[in-house]
Order: sequence, then C-alpha cells, then structure tokens
Amino acid sequence: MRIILLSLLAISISLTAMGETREVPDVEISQLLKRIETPSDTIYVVNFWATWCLPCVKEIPEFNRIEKSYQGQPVQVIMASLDFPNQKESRVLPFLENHTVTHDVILTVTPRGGEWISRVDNAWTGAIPATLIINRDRRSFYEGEINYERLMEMIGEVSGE
Amino acid sequence: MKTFKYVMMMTLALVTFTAGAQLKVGDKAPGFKLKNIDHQWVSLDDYKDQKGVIVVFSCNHCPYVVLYESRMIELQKKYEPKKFPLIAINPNDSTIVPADGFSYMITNAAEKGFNFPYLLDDKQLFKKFGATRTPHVYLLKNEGDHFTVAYIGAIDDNPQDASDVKEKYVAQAIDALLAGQKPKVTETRAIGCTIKFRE
Repeated sequence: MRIILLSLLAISISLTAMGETREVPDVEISQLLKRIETPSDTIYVVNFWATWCLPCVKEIPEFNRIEKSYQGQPVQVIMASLDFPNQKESRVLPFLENHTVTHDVILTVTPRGGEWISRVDNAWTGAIPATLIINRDRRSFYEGEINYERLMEMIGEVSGE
Repeated sequence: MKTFKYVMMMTLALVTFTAGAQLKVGDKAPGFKLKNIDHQWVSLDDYKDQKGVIVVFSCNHCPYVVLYESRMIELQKKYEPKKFPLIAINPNDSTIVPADGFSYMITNAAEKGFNFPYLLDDKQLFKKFGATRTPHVYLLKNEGDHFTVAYIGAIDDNPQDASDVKEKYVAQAIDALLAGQKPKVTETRAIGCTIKFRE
C-alpha cells in the first residue's frame, strides 16, 4: 500500500514538473472536517491560507519541508485555500504555477456567517494563517505565522510521542 | 506546598494574561488617543456626547478590508447622524507592511473618500482590545462616564458580495441599542488578515 502511495506521489510530482495544471478541488468545510476528524492512523496537517495573505505565502516553504521529514509515514498535509471561489482561475492556479506548494491544495468553500470558524477550532478568531493538526481525538491549533520547528512540535503533540 | 504555591501563581498569571488579552462583550472599553490622518489627535473622550462608537481595526493592504471599505463609508453615512460614528484604526507596523504606513493611510483615505477618522495605532492599542485581525469591529456603547463593548466581530455575513448580505451584524446591533434593546448577536467570527506587529 505504501509503495502504491509513494508511486502515486511520484507520478503526481512528475506531472507537476511537466507543467500539468494542478487539480484544486472545491471542498466544503464540513467535508474537510469529516475527512480529517474520521479516526484513522493518519495525522492531518491543515493549513488555512490564501494567495493574498503575506504571512501565509511566507510560511509555505515551512510546510513543504514536512513531507520530506515524514516520508512513508501517515502524515497528510492539506493546504486549504480561503481564496474566493471565483478567483480559482485568476489567482490560485497562476499562484501555484509560480510558487512551490508541495502538498495537496484545496479551495475551501465556506458557509456565510463565520460559525464554521469556531467549528474548526474554538480558539480560532478567523485571522489567517491558521494551522490545525489532528490525529484521532488529539488536536493542536495555531493562529498566526508558523515555522517548521513549531509544526514538528505540534505533530509530536497529536501523535502522542 | 511550594509546588502548590507555584501552581497557583502560574494559574493566576495565566488567568491575568487571558483576561488582558481579550475584551469581552460587556467589558469597559479602554480609552485611547491616537493620531488621525489629518495630523490631529483623536481620543475616545472626544466621543462623550455620542451614543456609541463603531471601532474598526483596519488597514490598507488587506483584501478583506478593501472589500469592506465602501460598507464602512455607508455605516458612517447612516449612523453618524444617529450618534454612532465610526473610527477606523490601523494597527499594522509599516516596517513589516510598508503599504500600511501613515502616508499610505492618507492617500488610501483620499482615494476611497473615507468620511471617518483613520487613526494610526502606534501604541498597540489593538492588544488592549484583543483584536487579532483586520477587519475586526468593536461596537462601543456610551454608558455615561465610560464605554462598554456591545458587539465584537464582523460587519456582516458576506465579505465577498455586499449585495448578498443577509445579516448586517453591526447595523442590527446599533438599531437594537438605539431602540433600547440588547443586540441579538453580540459576537461573530470572520476571516481576516492577521495584525502585523513586533513584540
């Protein structure tokens, strides 16, 4: 299974390298939460970001480093963009052509009103960047610009190491 | 016993920190005196004869702020005559975001036709309020000798499309206060840009 996953990864990387357009699926916040909150062996790292958010763009390389550290281990990084749905073609896709974003990028579709923000984490005021790390019933949340060392600490916290 | 004392001290320190970090609805609003884009000083005391004040932590560069600028102008048009004027305060450090510097505040206000004061928060007032993002609204109610917080959060429920707003949180809260009632919604969350500052 691991080999299949790794080869899929390799294929997707080479496709990206060949200049294929990145797939950026629209994912409703409820679907995203269902996906990461379903108990499994996988540690989910979700980064809420946007192309217009300066500290978000600055911290992307910190996230790019995670995959290398956890190769073969069940850590999945999801870069959840909060760009507006009508800006996928005009902003998100061009951004991904010009910047290295190693992990899966999704466009987060959010309901109006902002109640979903506390549903992601009660400590989240809504400022981005924000990062949520989940493993089974353990979660760790951080609002603000993050670095690789802090990410490693948070992953350590939820993995119960 | 020593350990107990230590734990108590740490708990107290933590509680104090939390209390100082986040203003809650019903809390007394901290006073301020900050420089406006016309180079005059504006203080909360200047608003003693008003029924309340709409304080918006704002800036120039944040796309979410930009989406709300015209709605801030509309709020001022509608509620300043009803004694609920709006004050925008820029808490961002221009050594981190040059576009949020004082000179750019002046040009931005002129270009967009701001009809409200736009103050430079060089004293980290935002920390006393507990503001974390732009835009971040604190609706203050005049209680006679001080102001209390009546609402904290977003201007309305749809940043992207002003024509498709269903809940005008700030306007509804002011209307309630003007009618002598408590606002139905006193706290909302919304996506915004982090406030950029140095410790």
